[in-house]
Amino acid sequence: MKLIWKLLKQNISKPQLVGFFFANLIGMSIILLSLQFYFDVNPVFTEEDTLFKKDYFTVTKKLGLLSPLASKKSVFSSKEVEDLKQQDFVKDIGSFIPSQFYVKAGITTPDQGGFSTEMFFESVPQQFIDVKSEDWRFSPVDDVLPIILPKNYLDLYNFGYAEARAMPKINEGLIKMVTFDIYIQGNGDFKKLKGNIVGFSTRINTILVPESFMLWANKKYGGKEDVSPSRLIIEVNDITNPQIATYFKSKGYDIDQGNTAASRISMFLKIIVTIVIIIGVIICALSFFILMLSIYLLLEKNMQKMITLRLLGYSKNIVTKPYILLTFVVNLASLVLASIVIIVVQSLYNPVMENVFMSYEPSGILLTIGIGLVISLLLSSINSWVIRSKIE
Amino acid sequence: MNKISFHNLLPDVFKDETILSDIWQKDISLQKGENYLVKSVSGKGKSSLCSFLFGYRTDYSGKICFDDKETKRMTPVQWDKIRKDELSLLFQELRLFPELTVLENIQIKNNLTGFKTEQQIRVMLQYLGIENKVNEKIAKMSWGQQQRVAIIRSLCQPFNFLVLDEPISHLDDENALLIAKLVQDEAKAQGAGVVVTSIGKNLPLTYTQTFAL
Repeated sequence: MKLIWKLLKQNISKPQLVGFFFANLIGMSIILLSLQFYFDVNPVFTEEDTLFKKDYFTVTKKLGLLSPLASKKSVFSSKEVEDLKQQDFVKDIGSFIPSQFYVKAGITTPDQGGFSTEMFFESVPQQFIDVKSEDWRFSPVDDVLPIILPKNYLDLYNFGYAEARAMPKINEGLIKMVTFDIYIQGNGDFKKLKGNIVGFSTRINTILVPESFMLWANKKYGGKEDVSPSRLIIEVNDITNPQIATYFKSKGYDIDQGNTAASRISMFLKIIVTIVIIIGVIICALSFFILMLSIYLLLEKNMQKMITLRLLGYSKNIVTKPYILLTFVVNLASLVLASIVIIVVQSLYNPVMENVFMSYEPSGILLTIGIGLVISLLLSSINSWVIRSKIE
Repeated sequence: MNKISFHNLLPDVFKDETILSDIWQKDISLQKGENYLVKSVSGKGKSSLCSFLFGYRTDYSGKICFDDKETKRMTPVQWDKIRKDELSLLFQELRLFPELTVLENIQIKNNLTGFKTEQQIRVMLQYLGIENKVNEKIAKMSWGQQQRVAIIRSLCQPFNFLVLDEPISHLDDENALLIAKLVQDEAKAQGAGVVVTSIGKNLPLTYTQTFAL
């Protein structure tokens, strides 16, 4: 093998190989870096609201100047709900049920007394909530009430109250461990419950409790009459269906799709990353052609040697192996170097990102390197195939 | 492989010509253990015959068979094995590697077959009077010296037939005798057949049959 290499390394052009190596390194670094950046930053903008099913809207009626006085007009009649149900795009529909009793929530700490506030609850049907069912249920006997809070409330505390009063910031995990005291009262009766926060929602702006609790509590502590809902939750088949917007507009309903600004940023991010990746791919493709041409030249120059080796009885595998190894080594070497570039650049932008985005968490580098490995092996395999097909 | 046979063989370049030959367009078989001489003037297709026989040209009609297997139907992998273990060829153009030394040129074959020890190779080099050139680059040697290196290389493998394409075209009679002995001893030891081509000067062996191409 040593002699074969001594023979076949003749005519290898170092400048061509170096040229390929750097072109490939640059292309590979651009592709992998943009992928890595995308994997790192995109989650910040697409924080999925895991508590709810994906394609849903909340629907309210538009509030006019006089509507506070005519409260009947801001609620949905059963006829209107029925009409919505008939629409093609509606997969499922549920109403928000407000609490019809007095609610007070508080927190007591052993040494500092505590604080309490009046509040309200709403509920939506069970099937719209995506929390593990054992966490999201209520039974009158065990007195524990699961609650979903809007994420805004936590932000309001962290960035408003805590900043102003120099209080410690709290994160979601911590607050989930705290239980609240909840008093509900009505019809001359009262009950004390333990409130337990099971999650935060960025998409629904209300304090949610299980529907089973709401039905039970409204019946026991609330007013007797059934209240029409003022908000509806709708699951749709296809969120891009243009019929949806047209329908709601014609009826004068407001729809709330949640975090539209973030999803727009996410879309721009995708477009920019795609453009950068395309540039990387073009550079990579060009470098691939440099290597290919360089190998073609090398094969042509050394063709007689290879033919003689074949005539001496050397198999095709042995004769092509030096060049195949060469392409694999050069491709993988540039991948290794590109990986180092990514690690270095990531360590440079991580601190910046952590300052800008609260919820920024760099994703692992393994997926990116894995993709790089696939690209690298694919290019090397095409090279090998070409080399093998040139030798009889 | 015990027998090489030609059946109505004719190079494509001769297909429109009237040929008078002992090999072209005849049925001939060569037996293992025998020596054959193929004589002709230049341009009658000696080297073509060698390249057909060694499987790197197929521009002919008719058939060449090793025992009963037709060579045109052999796969590259089968050829690898034949060139390594059954058939050895001294190319007229030698096909040595100019950038390698004498010893390396021989070893590149012997490493593949593992047939001779380095000691045996050195003895052969000494016998042909080029042992002091062992580490010299082939490019710096005369054609006659290169011929001797190529002959030694062709002996560094097991074979049933040894084909020598004009082996002594650039050698004196003394060297021709040495080579004849070296070749005959090796062929005898292996029980192999020898096919020699010539355009005038014949390798001095005892030939079973002589063909005029």
